[in-house]
Amino acid sequence: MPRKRNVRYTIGFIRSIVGQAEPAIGIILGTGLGGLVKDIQISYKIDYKDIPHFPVSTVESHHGYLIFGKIAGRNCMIMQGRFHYYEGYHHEDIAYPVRVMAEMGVRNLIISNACGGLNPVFKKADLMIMRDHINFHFTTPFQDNTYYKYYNRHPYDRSLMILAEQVALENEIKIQKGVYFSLHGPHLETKEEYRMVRKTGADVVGMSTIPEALQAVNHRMKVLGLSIVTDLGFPDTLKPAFLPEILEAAAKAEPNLTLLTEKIIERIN
Amino acid sequence: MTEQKRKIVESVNFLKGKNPFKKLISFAIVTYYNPSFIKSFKVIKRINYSEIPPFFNGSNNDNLKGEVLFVSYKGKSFIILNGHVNYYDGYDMHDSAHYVYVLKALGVAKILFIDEVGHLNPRFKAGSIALIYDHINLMGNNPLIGENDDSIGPRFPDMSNAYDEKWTADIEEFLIENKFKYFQSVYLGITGPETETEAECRFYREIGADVLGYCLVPENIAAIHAGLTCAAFGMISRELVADRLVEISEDEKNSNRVKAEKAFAPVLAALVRLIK
Repeated sequence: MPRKRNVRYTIGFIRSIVGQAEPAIGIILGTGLGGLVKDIQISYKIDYKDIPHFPVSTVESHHGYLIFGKIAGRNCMIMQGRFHYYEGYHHEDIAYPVRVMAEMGVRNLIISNACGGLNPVFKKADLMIMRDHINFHFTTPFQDNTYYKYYNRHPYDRSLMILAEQVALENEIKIQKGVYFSLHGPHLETKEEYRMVRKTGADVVGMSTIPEALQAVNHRMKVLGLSIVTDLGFPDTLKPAFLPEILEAAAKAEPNLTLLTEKIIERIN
Repeated sequence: MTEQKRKIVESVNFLKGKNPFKKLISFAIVTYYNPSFIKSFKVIKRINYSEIPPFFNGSNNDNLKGEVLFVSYKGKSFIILNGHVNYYDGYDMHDSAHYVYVLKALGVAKILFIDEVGHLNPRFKAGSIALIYDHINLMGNNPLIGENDDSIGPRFPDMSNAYDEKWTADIEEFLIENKFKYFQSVYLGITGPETETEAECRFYREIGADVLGYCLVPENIAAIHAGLTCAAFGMISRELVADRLVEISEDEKNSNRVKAEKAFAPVLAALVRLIK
């Protein structure tokens, strides 16, 4: 994994394929948003492993492609397949594609993820707008580089949150709002960890999203985080969770999330 | 074969050659270095960590301190890992987890972890035993970060039964029946090696921990990853209650620990007898 990387070099390569494409919206397809790929009018599809200085995804269930195309008539730059801290990447690696996006002119970023619900009113397969996050990775994308320029204490953009809520209401999709807590994983949390996380003021707990969101904020992008509650972590009644069940809940929420995302993209400024 | 698996196989092959018992061993104890309660067991074979390939390097580049003991006691034969591989000594979390995977490969199905702890709960007393039924990981790292070898364990292991409920309940029943004093506790894993400030103690208590220590969490996570059944005890050596925090000398810590070990020795002997 090259630690010294050059965004201009990466962008030069991407530009040599996509020409003067001007994507305004960036999307990171996490769990539950994979189906969105079917609705993209794909113009260009680049394998991560062909892109110089790009990290390579190792999890089987995630493909690694950078896609340029149109969703709802808007030019988008889409990451199909993402990187996780628990796979052994540094935060800087995980956030690198977002840096590339920012330098290519992307102004809005939509991130989706799967998470465990801790708020007792949440149900399995609920959607949630990320209102804020708590970072318990004990690291950030800016630890050993000098690209750190700007930080907003409200990483998730208010106008996008309001838009998402509005769209959900118009389409009669149930949506929650809450704080996302990120632990490094990959193991699920113990009962007492769930109890601790809830006590700190979080509504859901997951393993991703934070590095990308932090990097995006650093480039003054507008970030919208959408979560799917795939399992429930109530410490007093905790039952073992299995990956198939988690994927099932994600699949159940997928149509709504896809619809929501498309409508949001349509109306983003 | 991944690098991790290769290392495990290397250690297992070495230890299998040295195994003095003809059968597979299904039980192991993992403890901090040289507690007094293991003296009652008969050591058949003693192998230093530093003799077992592959070799790990911590920050001080000394030999890894600790031993693998093949032990027999009243007709039971089992393994004791005498000495934790401490994260604060500069070892990688993967190194801490390595010996747990080796135990699994040697046939072990049940592990009893024993760690030296400080107590945050004001009702507890230094010099007594803590029965650990859950943990919180605040070490900022864990041994599963990195590529996952599916032949060792699943990518996303479930931690809802980190310390086996049934085994812990059995142990508890035994302790109550025999009138042993113990404290049920949630263990907090932090890196150490420095002791905790008063504000930290208050914070740790606030998030729900009863005792804290530096070694147990990575080993437990690895054990759950490998599908082993775990239970854990803590020897309470120091008091870390926020509003009455005082400096504790090394001597006092040791004497508290020895007191706890003395109380624990008959418990351990009985638990070993009860293992099937």
